[in-house]
Amino acid sequence: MDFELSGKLAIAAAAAAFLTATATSAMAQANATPVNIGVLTPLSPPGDSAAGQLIVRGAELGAKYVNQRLGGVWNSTCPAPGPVNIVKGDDSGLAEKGMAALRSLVTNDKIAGVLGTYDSTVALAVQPLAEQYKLPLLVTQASDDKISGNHTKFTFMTHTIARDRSDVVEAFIKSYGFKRVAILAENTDYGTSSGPDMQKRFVDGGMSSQLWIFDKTNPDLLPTLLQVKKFAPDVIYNMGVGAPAYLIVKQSADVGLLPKTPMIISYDLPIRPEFWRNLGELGKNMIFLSYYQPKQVLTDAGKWLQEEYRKSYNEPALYSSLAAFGNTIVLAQAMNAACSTEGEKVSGALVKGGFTSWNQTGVAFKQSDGVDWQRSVQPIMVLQYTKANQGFGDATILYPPNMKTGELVR
Amino acid sequence: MQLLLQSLTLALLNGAIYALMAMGITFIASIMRIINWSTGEFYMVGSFAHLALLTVIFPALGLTLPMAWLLSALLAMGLVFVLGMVVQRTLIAPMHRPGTQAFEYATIMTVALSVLLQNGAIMIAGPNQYSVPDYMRPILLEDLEIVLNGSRVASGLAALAIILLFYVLLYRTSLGLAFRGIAQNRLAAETAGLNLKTMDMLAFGIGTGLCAVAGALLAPVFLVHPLNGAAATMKGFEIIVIGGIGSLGGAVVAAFGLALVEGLGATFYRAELQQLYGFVFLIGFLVFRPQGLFGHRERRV
Repeated sequence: MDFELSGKLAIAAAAAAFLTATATSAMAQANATPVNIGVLTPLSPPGDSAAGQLIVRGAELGAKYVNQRLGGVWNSTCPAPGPVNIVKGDDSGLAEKGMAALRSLVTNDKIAGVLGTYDSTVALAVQPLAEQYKLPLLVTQASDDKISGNHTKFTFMTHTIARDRSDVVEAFIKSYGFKRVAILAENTDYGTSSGPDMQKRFVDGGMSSQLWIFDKTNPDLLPTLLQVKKFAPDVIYNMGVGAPAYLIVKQSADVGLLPKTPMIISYDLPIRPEFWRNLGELGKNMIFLSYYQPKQVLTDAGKWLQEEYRKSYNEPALYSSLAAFGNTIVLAQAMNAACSTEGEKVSGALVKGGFTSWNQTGVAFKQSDGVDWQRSVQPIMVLQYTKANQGFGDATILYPPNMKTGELVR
Repeated sequence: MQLLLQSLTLALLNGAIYALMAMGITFIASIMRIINWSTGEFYMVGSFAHLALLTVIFPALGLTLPMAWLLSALLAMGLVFVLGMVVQRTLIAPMHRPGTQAFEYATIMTVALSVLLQNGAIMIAGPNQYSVPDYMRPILLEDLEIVLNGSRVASGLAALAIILLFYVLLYRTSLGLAFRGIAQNRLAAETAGLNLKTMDMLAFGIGTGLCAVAGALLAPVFLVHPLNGAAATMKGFEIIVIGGIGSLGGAVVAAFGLALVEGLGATFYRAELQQLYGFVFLIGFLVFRPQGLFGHRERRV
């Protein structure tokens, strides 16, 4: 009887404690100062502002997920959880604008962490600032090897690096027996570091390869493409980002390179809604790298994002949004694990922990050697559209072999 | 040989479009004595207006005309002509009077206008790139094994026709005579009874309209996005300096010259230096003939 009574009492006490804690937590969250998380990304030209817009959408939905599902984050007065708030900074894809925007986010908006960097030039420029401010910097889509290779304490990468991408492209090109590879790379950090690296790999692998580095601001690439035509490649690796990637496709057709010569776009540009609108039939048989395929299995958080994204924007979330969403919830989980929003403690938690993100791979930042320092490795796929206006989910997976769903259409 | 022919053809087609852009800048400079630094943005507005007309408004009205692209480009030019006149009357004219620092004021105003138009385009149309359907199918010259983009050929030919019409306006009409008079001597033209306020407004509208039609014609080739005018501004200013500021003939010759130097240099030497060839050409002129091809040395007391 006593036991029964004490059991009931215990249940009642636990329920009361739970309700009190929930109410306190909800009140605390309602009253607490929001924890600002910065999104530093290109929102205006010459940066790829279409990607920046997708990144902001993902981060904002990430904040919504953290506030609704995780109950906010523990701030520096732990245990008083606060809601997360996203503050945008526009880097225009330029180093100097990125640095100014980050300074403003830190000094005016008091951000506790930053994510969203898309251009390697910007990520490398703001990396020393993140160290100076002791600010966790989650690199969302920049991919230069030097970012993780610099071994800085507050920088964390969840995106693939150039080396991973080069490995995949090299293996793909070898496996399909291409012998003459033309590389078109833009004159940015991305193009000038990855372009020569790719060429060296192809030449070392016994292939014939030529590299053209073009001016990103020049819309007329025909003279370059005439030289490419003279080289007579059996595959073209298009390393343009944003408008130049489209211009290479359109103008390759102008000189007669397309549709005869297969073309690989170095990132997931073809998954964007404007791809077919801009290229029409020219997009058919396009090969491209992607970090996500709609048929892959997502975590509960990833499924929540897809549902909310569709409700908000009437279209499926693409990789840029998924990656920014993942970064936001990883940062929030680290703040909760650290019971703090202080940069030192959050960075420590990021290194120690394992975190849930949008895909099944999960996120962990080990302080490994070389370019694997504080970097969470994510899978890369090579896809191909086989019909005009084909849906992203219906694209054939050509690589890796264990995920292959069809053969290359030439 | 095939490569040479193809790059020469492309240089000719590019030259026609470059000439159109440069004539817009140099016409305003010769009439109003100011430089319009928002040239590229009027080019961009022209391309967006063309996009809206061709892909939204015409289909909504059920218009399926042959060569609708040409009508749309001309309408885009007309719209920007009106916009240019409004901008001139409201933003530039108030300070453009004797005794004021009109040149400095116009420089600041047109630079500010370029930022406003760029950001306005991002706000209205978003950051994405757009394209319009090709004007013509690719042209295959089988004997020479050359493929030419139909839109480039069509836009080059349309640009040549517009240049010709502009020459007719300037040299075969009384309005053109008035413009030429103002270009020679504003004060004398005013004392002869010309209303400079109206003529300035018309000149600014015509100049910006010419830039806009270049942007519209090139929409399927260079895409439509808020920053697509940047290259147009740069090329346009290179051309007017080489040709001689205020010289329309100089602008046309320099446009074809620049297109040729860039095209041949990039095809037969190093493609990544394409933009540089134009600047080397420009520096050469500044050193050896600073007044440009058809410009005159000025003396002031």
